[in-house]
Amino acid sequence: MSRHFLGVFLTMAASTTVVAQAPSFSSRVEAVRVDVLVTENGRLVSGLAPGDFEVLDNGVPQKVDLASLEEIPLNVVLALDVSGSLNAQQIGHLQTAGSTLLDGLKQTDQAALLTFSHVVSQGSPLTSDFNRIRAALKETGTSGQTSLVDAAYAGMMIGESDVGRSLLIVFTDGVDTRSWLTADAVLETAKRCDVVVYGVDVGTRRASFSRELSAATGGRLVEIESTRDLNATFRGILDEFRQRYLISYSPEGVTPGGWHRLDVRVKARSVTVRARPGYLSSH
Amino acid sequence: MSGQRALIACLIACTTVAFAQNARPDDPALVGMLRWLEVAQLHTPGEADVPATEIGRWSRIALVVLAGDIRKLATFLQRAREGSLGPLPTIQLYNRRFTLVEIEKVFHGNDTLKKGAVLHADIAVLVVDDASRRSGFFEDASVFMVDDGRRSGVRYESAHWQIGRALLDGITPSPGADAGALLWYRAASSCLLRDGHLAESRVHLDRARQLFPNSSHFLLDSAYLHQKFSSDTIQAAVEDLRSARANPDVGSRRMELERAERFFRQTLALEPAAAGARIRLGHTLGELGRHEEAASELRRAIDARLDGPDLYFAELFLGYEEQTLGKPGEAKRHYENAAELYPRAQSPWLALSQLARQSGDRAGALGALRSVTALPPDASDRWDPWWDYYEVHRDDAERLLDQMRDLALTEVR
Repeated sequence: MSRHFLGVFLTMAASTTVVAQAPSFSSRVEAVRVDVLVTENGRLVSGLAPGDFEVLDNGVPQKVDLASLEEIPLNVVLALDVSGSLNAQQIGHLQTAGSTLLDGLKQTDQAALLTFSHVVSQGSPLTSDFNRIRAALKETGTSGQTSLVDAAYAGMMIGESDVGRSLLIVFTDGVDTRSWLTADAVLETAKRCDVVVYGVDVGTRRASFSRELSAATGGRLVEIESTRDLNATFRGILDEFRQRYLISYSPEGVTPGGWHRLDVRVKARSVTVRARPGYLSSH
Repeated sequence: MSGQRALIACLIACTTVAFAQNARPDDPALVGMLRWLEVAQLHTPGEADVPATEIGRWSRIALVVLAGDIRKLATFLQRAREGSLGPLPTIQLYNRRFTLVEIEKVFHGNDTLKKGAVLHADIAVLVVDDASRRSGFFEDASVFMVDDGRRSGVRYESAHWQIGRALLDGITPSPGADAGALLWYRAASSCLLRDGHLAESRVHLDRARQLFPNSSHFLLDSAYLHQKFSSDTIQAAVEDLRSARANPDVGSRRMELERAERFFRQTLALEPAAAGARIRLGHTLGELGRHEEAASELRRAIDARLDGPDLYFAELFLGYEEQTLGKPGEAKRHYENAAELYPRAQSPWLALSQLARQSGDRAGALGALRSVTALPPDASDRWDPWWDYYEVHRDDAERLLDQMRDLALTEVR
């Protein structure tokens, strides 16, 4: 069970239809979706069209079919560490931050709550009934060890259990001490599913797993010293995620199956692009 | 019984007075040693009685000095009885010189040493206000408390296990040939592991293996200990401690796994039917990346007709090894077996979900995950043996302590 960390990505099954409203699309061939964050001097860049993107799949240029901002409803999964090392004040901050994040969701969005110590527990499945999640947040108590890797896996699976763009926020104050699943296995799974992970690590302990998982899914690890400003952190992640482009293409000129390296650029612009580094194709 | 104890107390008191008149024991260490010799005889094994409470108030340094003095007495007694000290042997203790007759009145060789060792074990286990836990003279007496992979405090380990071992080292002809010493070491080992005193366990087991090299008990306990040192919890805590410039005596994960493997193999060489040891050997080999060997050991363990958590572990671990070896069908079967044994344990369902997702079966992955998300939130309603795998539960600790105490009483009688 040696634990290495690999890159990640996402792929979408051929027959899956994305979302009810907004720019929905479906396809009989494998479509690859990539969540992309574009910034220029630290500021989000908006107004880009499909033709502005250049996507290389294993080095082969692809035709981008779609590039959308904001319109697609979100599946936001909160996976919150409630192990015994968190104190009452931190839990209070966590509950408030979770509630604040829910305030930022639209009626078409869905959210789910997962808490973890050594016990991985679903507080709420994906739902648009945010009051249900608020109620579950209030029930949160602390105890036990930390099954960070198990919870991250469960969070990804919940995130991809419904159509839409999936964001998984994994909050932890420590390192994994009790998971059954290995980091290797979960990172490998992340390469096969369609969820962007943002890790939020508080304190001085840094879980390398959070960093690797975030990077591999095209997300980001946010490191904070205390939970005092967790409200702003969670809300900032949501706002940033809404500003990401969802681009899609049907792979051409590449061999199906195995690992596909992805390079995503914006033509003729000196911008910073954050996207998953590749994906594992099942076909 | 009470009359007998009163008589012993009277004899000791009279002897002590005579001894004190001769020695004028104004040196605190000598006074302490005499008092210890007295109360060690008065202690009732298994009770936090007045003698245990009194000695429990001694500082760590006082106890270490005492152990050295008692060892001097033991050596003197042995050599005097062998005749190697001449016809009228004497011993200088602090500012006084004592004859063999005077020493024999208060110190009864192996009996006193073993009774003393039981007294100190009882203090370590039963006396809440053990002063040696509050103070340290030597830097290495301090231990770190760790929880969930991080340091949670510093304290001093009880000195009484160390003192017990020091006393038993004085047994003649050899503590390694003494049944009482063996029982004391086994009981202590069991208590230390049960209560999570890992630093003390390491020292204790190192000495136990020296004294009793052919005892499978200490080899197995050593294997448990080093396997625990290899766990994520301990390795994370060690990393945390090293970042604070502390240097706990724990090796790298691989090093600890290799030590565990060695001890599990030695245990199995002496006890081939020890299925628990074989399961853990299999798991250790898997952790070391030797998956074929791991699977072989785990299959052999399952063939031994296990039940309960042992069977659960064997199935779960073998599932993982089969998955790693590229046999998803076999892996699924073993994970399902584990899930059947403990349907409310989350680990087999997570394993089944991940196995399905790995093969592209998204529906299967979600189905297995639902078995986790549908579980009640309270850990007590959904126990997973995996959570406690690295906790060394020693249900035999109290039984061994009782046996040790009974033996001490029998030998004294």
